[in-house]
Amino acid sequence: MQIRDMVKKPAKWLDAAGDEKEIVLSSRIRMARNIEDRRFPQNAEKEELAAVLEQTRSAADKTSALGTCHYFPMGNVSSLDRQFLAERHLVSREFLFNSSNRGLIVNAGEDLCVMINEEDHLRIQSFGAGFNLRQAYDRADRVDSELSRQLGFAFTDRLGHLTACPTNLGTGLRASLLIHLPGLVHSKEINKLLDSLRQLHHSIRGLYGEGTEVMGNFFQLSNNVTLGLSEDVIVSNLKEMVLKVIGFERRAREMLFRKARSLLEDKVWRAYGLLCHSRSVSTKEALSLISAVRLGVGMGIVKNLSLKTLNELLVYIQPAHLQMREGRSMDAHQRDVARADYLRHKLSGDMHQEEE
Amino acid sequence: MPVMCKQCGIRPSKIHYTEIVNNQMVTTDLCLECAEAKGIDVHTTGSYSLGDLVAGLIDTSAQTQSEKMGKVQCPKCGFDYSNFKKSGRLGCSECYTAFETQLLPLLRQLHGSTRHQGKSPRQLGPIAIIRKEIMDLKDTLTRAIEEENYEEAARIRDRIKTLETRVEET
Ligand SMILES: [Zn+2]
Ligand SMILES: [Zn+2]
Repeated sequence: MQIRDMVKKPAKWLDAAGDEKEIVLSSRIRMARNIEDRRFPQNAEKEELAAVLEQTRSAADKTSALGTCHYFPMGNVSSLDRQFLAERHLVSREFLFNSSNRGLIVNAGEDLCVMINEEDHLRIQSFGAGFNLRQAYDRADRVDSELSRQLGFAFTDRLGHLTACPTNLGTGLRASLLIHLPGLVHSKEINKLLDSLRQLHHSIRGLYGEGTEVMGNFFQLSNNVTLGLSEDVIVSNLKEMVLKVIGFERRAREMLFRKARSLLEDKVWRAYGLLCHSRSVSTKEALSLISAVRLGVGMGIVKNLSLKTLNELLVYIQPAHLQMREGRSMDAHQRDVARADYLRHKLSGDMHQEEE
Repeated sequence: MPVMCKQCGIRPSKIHYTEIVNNQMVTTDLCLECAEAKGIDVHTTGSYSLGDLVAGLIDTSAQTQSEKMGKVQCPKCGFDYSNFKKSGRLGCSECYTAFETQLLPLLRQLHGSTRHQGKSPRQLGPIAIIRKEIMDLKDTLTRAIEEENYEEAARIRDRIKTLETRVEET
């Protein structure tokens, strides 16, 4: 399989099948691991990095929890392909700029992957639709156990898994949820929420993680503490907190509906109209329109549209996805036009004919 | 009157940019040049990372201490502690031993703890699991004594003794 073939099918975790799907898009688990007696990637020579790549790759081949996998050596991958993988949340932004001696292992359903030689030797990731952290954790845990037996991870009883950055030390576990909080943003309660999350040692980031722009009211919520708590406790703390956030978001939505129903409906339907009829639209504008329509679907204002379609749009309107679908590179202006075309067709249902 | 770029103040702003810095939503208006300089235009580029934040923490908490100690290096990989202060990343797993004195206060600050409680790699075998249990029991023992719960403390002490003989036997 080649990377460009992946564009034909959206990743499984976008299918809006999980719990609390109106608010929680997906659950993600990431484990940071390093191989014993090898320098951390940033401090390692080329030969050592190449050895880590090879070692990990061959161990992954024997890892039954991963199932059938594809391996992509990043050095041979075009920058468009790399951006495409980042838009699918399979690789981090670090992979975009410095790609030699890095690799990606990804399974067929795109719900398990291993980044090799990112900040740590291995970053095991698992994705699930909706609010299903526990399931995502169990899948990553099985992969970790199998790889650990073969590779021998750097670990001490006192400090746990040893990672390049002390923020990941111990469990190496980052659990995160991609959540849609238009209600809290509209009611201006979002900053209050951010404040209390910080006090509770959790953090919230933009759609594409650390340092990325907040667009379309989509946020990533995750744990900060990785040392001194068991994986179980980390996951249940985050779960509990997100349940509260979901409660707040629901309340904010109900409030909007009660106090400003016609304004809300107007905003939703205008966004829907723009998505269906625009001839040129930027990523940022599209995300904000999708956000409004998604709120409309979640509240039963828009009925003939599925959350699954909207989730897929979030990924497929991104620059590399548009270019990959069209099979050619486009400048920003051409992309805006192609994006509008894509949205129009997808929302009017013409898409099925076009794809056949 | 166009809104001017908050960064340079010279060019009119073209980009309304919202990001989260230290858990605060921050919105700025930037011109294209400044946005690009910040790495924003490429939608996937970031402006700060947790690692940078760590580097910031080290500067305030451990600077004087490590300065007093002079140059500290990891014997295994040769990584210099001053590099860690800049990048927030360590050189190899042995660095944690080499820089233990400097790192422990930082770990307390970051995680509120300096002891792993989670999963242990299975290949370490049953002995490691017992050792871990002993360590945990010792923590519980200290707490029990602090709480003057001597009955509980005695029970824990017995359990530790049993486990320690089991480790010695194997
Ligand atoms: Zn400027
Ligand atoms: Zn070292």
